[in-house]
Amino acid sequence: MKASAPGGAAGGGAGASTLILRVLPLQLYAGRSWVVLERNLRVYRRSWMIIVSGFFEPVFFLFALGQGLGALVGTVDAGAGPVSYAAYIAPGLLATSAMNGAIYDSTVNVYFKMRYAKLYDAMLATALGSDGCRARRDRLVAAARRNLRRRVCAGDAGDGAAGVLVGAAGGAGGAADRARVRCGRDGVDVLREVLAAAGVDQHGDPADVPVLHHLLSAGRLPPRRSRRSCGACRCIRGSS
Amino acid sequence: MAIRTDADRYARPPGGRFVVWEYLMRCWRGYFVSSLAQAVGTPLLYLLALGVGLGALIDSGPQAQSFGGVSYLDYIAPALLVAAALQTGVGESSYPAYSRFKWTRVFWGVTATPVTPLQVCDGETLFIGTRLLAGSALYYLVLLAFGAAGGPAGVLMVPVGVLTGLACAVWVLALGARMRSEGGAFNILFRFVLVPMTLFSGSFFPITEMPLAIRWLAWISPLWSGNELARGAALGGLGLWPAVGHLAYLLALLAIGAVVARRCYRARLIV
Repeated sequence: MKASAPGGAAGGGAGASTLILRVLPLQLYAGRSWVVLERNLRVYRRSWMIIVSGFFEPVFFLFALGQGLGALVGTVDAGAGPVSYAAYIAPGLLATSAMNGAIYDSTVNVYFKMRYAKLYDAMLATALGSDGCRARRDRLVAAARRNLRRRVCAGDAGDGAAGVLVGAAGGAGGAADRARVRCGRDGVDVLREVLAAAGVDQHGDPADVPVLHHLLSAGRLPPRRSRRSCGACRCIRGSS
Repeated sequence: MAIRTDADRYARPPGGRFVVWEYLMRCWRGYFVSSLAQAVGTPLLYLLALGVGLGALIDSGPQAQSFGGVSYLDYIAPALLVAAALQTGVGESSYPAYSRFKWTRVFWGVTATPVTPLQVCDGETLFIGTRLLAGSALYYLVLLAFGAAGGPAGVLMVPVGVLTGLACAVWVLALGARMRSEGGAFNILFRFVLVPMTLFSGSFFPITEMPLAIRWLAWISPLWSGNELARGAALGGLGLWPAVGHLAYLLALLAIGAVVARRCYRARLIV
């Protein structure tokens, strides 16, 4: 996210603590990596051609090198007596195919997801699905989200708020509200309004670190607003 | 996006394609070192592994004479140069070119200026040609260091490589301009066209080793034409008329592909 750049550049002490919290996101890690796996499986179900075509590549190689070149090579002494060239290269082709698939998926694919598809940003904005502890997680998330919505606009936890607060991860004991606010297209100004309306405490409160230090520099934190004026709500509704 | 008006006719710079070419050359600076390392490292590895390693097996094998009396290293060296040019050309015209439509959307910005979509297409083609020229020249120097570059006529391998790579690249440019999805078609292209083309075009073994049923794959392959021309340049032994035929095939492929690519770019970028 672009908005995180000024936050990271500001101040020595605050920057360092933010860095530590970003490297070690205590209590923020949902431990649900298998949800990401499930997501990838669902995606690959639609692009099964890539998997199937991965089968053909070693077959092409085996045919071309084993048959075409094999006739010219003859037999190869593989330690336990001479074997045909096709038999000699077949295991190697299998291993190469596996290695190529893994390298492709972990380099270009990951970079694409990060740089262009912004997939990881989207993932981090959610609680990454649900698992066997669904009841507990739902309770935590619901509590956090309810608190945040109540703060955004008392009495009218409207759809507009949900459009901005796309995810809330359950904090320790459910007391701390940890929300990740997506900046989106509307930029930092809307975000300031939202944070002001949410009445999130000033920086220094550890509960706010994911929201505030992640997106805004310390000098640009929004002032607290009274809930009555609620200009932010109009702004949120207008933007969603 | 470009919207045609009469005013464009006066404002359009004549050298738009060179402006696009210059932009792409400046982009190239970002990965210049890595592309040079690739241009030198890949031939080194291939020549050592295939030419020297596998060549030792083949030259002492039962049919060492089937390469026309030259060592296996000398036999594959021209084909490796052409295959590398093909890889570079297709690689540069697939995802990098497509991303300028889809993800970075640079082409939409460029065509909002007086530069036209046709000039964008020409600039891409020029840039890929430049990259191929640099890569093939470096490849030739490495072959020279290995003593596998043939006689003085072997330097003709460089233009042959550029021609082969470009003849395929323009078609991939056209494909990219027609695609709307996330680019999965390129994966299919690589796996079902590029890899078989590299394997079954007489690069690593003469196509007479292939069964007749699939030998037509080599006959229609531009890489086979490039291989034959490059081998003819480095090792000799290619008749005049086959050479003219291969050259005409590659030139026709390039010319038709360039026309198709320009049409596709115009269809994509003019609204």
